This record gives sequence, C-alpha cells and structure tokens, in this order.
Amino acid sequence: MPDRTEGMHKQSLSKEDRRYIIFYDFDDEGEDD
Amino acid sequence: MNQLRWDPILREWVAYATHRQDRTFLPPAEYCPLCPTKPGGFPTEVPREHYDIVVFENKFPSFSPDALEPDEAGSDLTPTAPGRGVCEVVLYSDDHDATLASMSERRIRNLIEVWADRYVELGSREFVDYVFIFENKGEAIGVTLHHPHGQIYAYSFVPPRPKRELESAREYRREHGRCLHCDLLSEEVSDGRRLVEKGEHFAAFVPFYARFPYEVHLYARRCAPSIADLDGEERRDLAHVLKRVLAGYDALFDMSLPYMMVMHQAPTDGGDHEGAAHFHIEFYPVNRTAEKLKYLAGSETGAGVFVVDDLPEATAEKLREAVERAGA
Repeated sequence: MPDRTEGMHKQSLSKEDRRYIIFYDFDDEGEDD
Repeated sequence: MNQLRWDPILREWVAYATHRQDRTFLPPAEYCPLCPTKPGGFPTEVPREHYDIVVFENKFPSFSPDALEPDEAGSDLTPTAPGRGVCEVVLYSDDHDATLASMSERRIRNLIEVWADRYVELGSREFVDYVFIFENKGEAIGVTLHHPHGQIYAYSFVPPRPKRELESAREYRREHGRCLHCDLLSEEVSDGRRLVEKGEHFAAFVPFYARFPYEVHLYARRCAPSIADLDGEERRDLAHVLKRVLAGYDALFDMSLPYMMVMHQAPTDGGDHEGAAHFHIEFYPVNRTAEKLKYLAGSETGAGVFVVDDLPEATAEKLREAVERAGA
C-alpha cells in the first residue's frame, strides 16, 4: 500500500445530528503547478 | 427505514429507503446545501467558509450502519435483511459551478487520494464487503443537486454486477491462467480502433460490447486490485487520463455531458481477489446525440438485451476527435 500523499491533511468532526464530516485539505489546494 | 428484500428469481437484493422521498430536490444555487456556509448565510452541510474536498455521511442514506431488523420478516423464499451499509457524499470542490471535467489535474489527483482513503477506511469496517465509488452527473441522470459531488456506497454484500464480473474473471483465470481484464485491455490497445486515450499507466476505450453509445472504460494497465493499490505515478496518470476523457466528453456535443461514472475494484469481504479484481472506471453517458437520450426500455429493462444505434468503432473515433479538440 503506498504511503498517504504528502500534503494531505484530514480532520474528522461530528455534526449536530451525529453524522460525521471529514475535511481533506491539501497544501496545493488543487492548483496545478 | 433501510431494508433489503431478496428477489429469488434474479437472486439479488433490492434496497428500500423510504425516507429518501423527502430529500432536497434541485434547490436554487443560493440555497445549495453542498456549498460552504457563508457568514450570516444559511447553514449548509459544510460548516466552513472554504474547503478543498469534503466527505460526509449522506443525510438521506440508502443504507445505514445502524439499520434495524425489518418489521417485515418476509419468508424463507423471500427473506428480508437490515439495509446495513454506509452512504457518503464526496464534495469535489467548494465552487458550485465547477465539474470534474473543469477541475485541474492536480485537484483530480487529490480527489484520487480521497477516494483511495475512503476505500481503505470504509473497507476496514467489519460489515462492509464492497466499497462502490460513483458519480451521477446531470439532470438527465436524475441528480437532485448540481454542486460537483460524487457518492460512495459501502455495501454489506458484493453487488451483483461486480460479483458477476469477478466470477467471469476467476473462470477465465482457471481456463487461461491470465487476467481477463489484462487480456481485454491488451486486445483494445493492439487493435486501437476503440481506443480513446492512452496514458503510461491507464488506457480508456469504448468496449467492443458497449451498451451505451459513448460508454468508456478506463483500465489500469497493471493488474492493480483497487484504487488504494495504485502507486504515486499511477495516480498521477489516472488524473491525467481522467481529465482528458472528461474534457473530451464535454467537447463531444459542446455541452456538459451527463454521465454515470462507477468504479469496480476488489471487494473488502476478506476474500482473496488477487488476479480476479482489476481496478477500472466505467462511464455510461446516456446521450445518443446532443438532444436524444438512450432510454432503458423494454428490451434493455425487461430482457436485459441492450440495443445500440452506433457501433463502438464509430463512437470511439468521435470521442478521440473530441479529446483532441478539447486538448486538456
């Protein structure tokens, strides 16, 4: 299994109705070089 | 209420989720529940002003991790079962008007990381046997929200279509000692007439037996069982080929083409699927022309026989030209 991409940050939260939401943030913000 | 009912004739489960009748239906853009929550604005699904990629549990799930035993017990012939599973929504971008085709290769590459992460995380849950990643795009497909997003269904069973595909691949390997998908891909690459785009690690083609006129299958050129097994170079090439194919789709009729995009890969049921599962993506666009749609009518729905108006060799040629025109 390859290593998780460098520059990917993952944050999980629980919503008021207990459903989860996960934020995937990337250092490059999806912009091409 | 999430429940499964067994169809003993076709030997497959049918899922019922009656609460989905109340789901949000084509709201105006200013009330999109998938956009970020703006200061002073109405609270959307995402409590942030900006985001890159977001995954959350579907508010109107077809399957639920906590599904109870159904009140309707069924019979020995027609049993029922809890509609257990997980349904996630994947938001590709906080830009309401973007599409996967309009996104940068880098963002698609990031999305591939998210898909791979979800495959591993959902697949590690004890009750999840199959992680199905897909996107329904366009009102012609029946989408209820326009914001760019896909979905993931984590099923508690291997769904019939991927199951049949795996059974065919296993039988082929027993008879020939090789991977069915690798051989199919090899034939398409050497023939070339149905090839749409060829990257270093992925290739896209209209299959010899396409059921939709502009159906495209995108295969990993290495026999990788799942998206999570792709290495960094393969993921980069997948983003490149995906972008080219999607841009070609939009150039085909000079419109944002509606489609269903689905991923087939190894089940997560603890079984050995090495040599049978081969990661690939299938696109089913429903347009025959800019105005005319392909409907699943009597023969397709009642007999399971697709009747197609164009030969795959002809549609592949048009798609190749569209990909070149788009020049993504």
